[in-house]
Amino acid sequence: MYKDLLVQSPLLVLPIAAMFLFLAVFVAVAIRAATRSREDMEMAARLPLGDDHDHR
Amino acid sequence: MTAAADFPGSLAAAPGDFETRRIVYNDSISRWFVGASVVWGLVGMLVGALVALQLAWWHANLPPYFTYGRLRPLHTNAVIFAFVGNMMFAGIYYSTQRLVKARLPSDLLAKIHFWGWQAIIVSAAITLPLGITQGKEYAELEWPIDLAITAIWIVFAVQFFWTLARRTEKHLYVAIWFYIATILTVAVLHVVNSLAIPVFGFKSYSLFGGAKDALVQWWYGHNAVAFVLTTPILGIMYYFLPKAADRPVYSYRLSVVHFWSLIFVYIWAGPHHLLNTALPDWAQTLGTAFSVMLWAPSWGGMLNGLLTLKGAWGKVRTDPVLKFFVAALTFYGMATFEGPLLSFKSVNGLAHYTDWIIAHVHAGALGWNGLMAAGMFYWMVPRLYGRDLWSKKLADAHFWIGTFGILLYVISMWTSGITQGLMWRATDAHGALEYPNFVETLNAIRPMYWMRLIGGSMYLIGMFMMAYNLARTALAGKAVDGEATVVVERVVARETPWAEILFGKPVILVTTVTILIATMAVVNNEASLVLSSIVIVVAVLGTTALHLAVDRSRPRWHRLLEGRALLFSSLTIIAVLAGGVAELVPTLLVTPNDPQILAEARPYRALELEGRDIYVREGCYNCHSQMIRPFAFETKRYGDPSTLAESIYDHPFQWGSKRTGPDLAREGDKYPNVWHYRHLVDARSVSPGSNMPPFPRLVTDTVNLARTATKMHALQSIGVPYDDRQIAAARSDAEAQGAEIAKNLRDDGVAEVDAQSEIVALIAYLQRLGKHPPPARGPDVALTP
Repeated sequence: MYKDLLVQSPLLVLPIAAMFLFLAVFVAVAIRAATRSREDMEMAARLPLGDDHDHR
Repeated sequence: MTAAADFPGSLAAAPGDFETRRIVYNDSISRWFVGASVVWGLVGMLVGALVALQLAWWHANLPPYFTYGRLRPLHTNAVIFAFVGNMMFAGIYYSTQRLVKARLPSDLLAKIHFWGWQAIIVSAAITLPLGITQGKEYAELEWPIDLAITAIWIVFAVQFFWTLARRTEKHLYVAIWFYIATILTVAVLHVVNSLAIPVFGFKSYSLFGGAKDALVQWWYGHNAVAFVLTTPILGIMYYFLPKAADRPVYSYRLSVVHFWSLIFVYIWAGPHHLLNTALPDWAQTLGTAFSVMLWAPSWGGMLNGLLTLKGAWGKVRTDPVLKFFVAALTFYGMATFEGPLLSFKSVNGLAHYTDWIIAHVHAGALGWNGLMAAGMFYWMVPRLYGRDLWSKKLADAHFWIGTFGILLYVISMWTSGITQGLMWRATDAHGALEYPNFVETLNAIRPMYWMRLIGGSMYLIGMFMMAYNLARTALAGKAVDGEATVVVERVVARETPWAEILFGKPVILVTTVTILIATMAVVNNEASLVLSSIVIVVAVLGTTALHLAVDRSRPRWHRLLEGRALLFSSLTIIAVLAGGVAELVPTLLVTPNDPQILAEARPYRALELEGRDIYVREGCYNCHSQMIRPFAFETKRYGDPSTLAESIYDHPFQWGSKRTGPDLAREGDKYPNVWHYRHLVDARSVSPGSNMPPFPRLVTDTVNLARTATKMHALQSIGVPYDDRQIAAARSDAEAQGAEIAKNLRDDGVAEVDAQSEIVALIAYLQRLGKHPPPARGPDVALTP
């Protein structure tokens, strides 16, 4: 199947390689996000709250 | 207050090394952009109501300037870049200053950004009705305006990244990531898709032609939806929804995954706009695969937003801001469910070119963007003017009339799209088309066009209510700028070196695994699937092992990254470029070497080229496609499927995306010249029931043949194979072809025809579509037996 595709142009290896890169990054990001500490997450999540005075 | 020392990537400072600093934000810029967004929103949607009326009742076309083909681009540009664009700038400036605890560094740049952007919008509002267009959807503006957009976008980027550089909050909240992705990606998309060769002051030809232009255009068009209408608004959602609900986002973890997967996947999905066309199959399949993958991040983001309200649903009943946000997220979920569904070839075969797509985009634009804008304005304006909203009841009324209006709009267009799609493909027991006359399928959906007009008008009334409510709030209050007090270090703490982040374990791991898998995929054909699976398992196990072995006292890799704006931006742009380059380069670099393609392809004759420019100017592509798909019901109606050769010299391509009228790819010789003449002057005279605008001025306006050779020369410079003899003879050839058509028209009973009139040039172009004239005759050579 790959050979059939690559017969059209050797440049078609580009999307294949990039797709694998994307899948690998996705797996890595998902694992990193899942393993981060609760405190880190809570601190970051609270950033928008109470960030300035309400003049109303 | 979060201080720099809280950031785990910095070395902690001693207690005496801190100082308290008061920050007064530049909120004037947000007030201006909110005002501009509301005003342009009203204008854009008024034009939307007008074009909806024109489709239902052709008399509403006012040629030559206010016809459907010229106004529809004005409507789309106004809503996308003027309404949502200004709203996005207002939200980004307001939230960024607060999230990074820094005032915008330059008031002058803010003013240049604001007034520059409004000037661009005004120039669009003037040039589009004048017919000055590049003929590419959502990228119609001509090259001088494109240059202005680039300049103003750079101003915006400088202001934004300068603000990040001056920040006193080290951590970059997830909303900022979405803004970074927006700024960088829109810059790349705009520059690549706008590459064109200028011919005159306001006339250019796209650098790309045919399928290449189609791929670049829809890579741009799809990602304009992604990075103008989605990512900045998601950033705004991640800031304003927690503020309005007074609780942190449901899952920050999910937001991390949401961000990276969305920007990695979105950039690939553009070819789903070109399914079942002459685009290479591999590119179409890639578009479908990534569109399906988009389901996950889109719904992850939607659920993250909705679940933020867990425990606060009672507030939704009483707070109009939350009502708008919840409804917006619901429409976002609906539209992002529908998008991948429409990317399946079979579903797309039914839906493409019909009003189903119009329903889909309006669920997104009116539901997601419009309601998010309203929620944000109702939250911001009282704070920007130091008083409560003038009328909560009026905001509630806006919510209900707006939501009902969207539903009416979307349901009518779904009905219309599916009805027309089914009628196009309906065949009788003998396999013949049941509705061979295209107008029959149009007349069947006309009631839906009136229903759409009612729904859209209701939404517009809601917008007027909002404008009035916000204006009363502003007039009763006084402009106030937000303030904050932050504790910052006197001496900036040492940051983690970039090399430590760039060569962190996740980067090394991902790079190694990718190289391994890609190598195996290419080298080892049969075993690659098994080996790839093994490598993925090893990678997962390896990552887990790395995690267990990690030094708990040191900050995590992604946490470090979130404190480094420049590096974060670089990785974002790599993510986006990798997708774009990998998808576009194979198509752009491959020169067709199929002898049949090259033998069939011929550039347009001089008069045909002038006619094509008129076709583009009048925006005919807004209603007519030039791409016959390989379906039996299409070939029966229109002829053989379109080939790459037929549009290879089309700069820009005119495949179109909607069929309010029939496909024109093989229009040549289908009707006599006189039929086209009468059809263009008043379509009803030969096609009763048609809703096409009348074009009487084409009869009296003439083509400036003095400029034709210059146009051909410009096209020659970008690869269209005109030879110098053809260019030198452009005028005489155009006059000869015009005289021939004019004589034919006179013979068929048209009293007065100017051979150089625009209608003659347009007829020359239409009669050429789908025809492959023999090669231009060379010197006579004796044929040997």
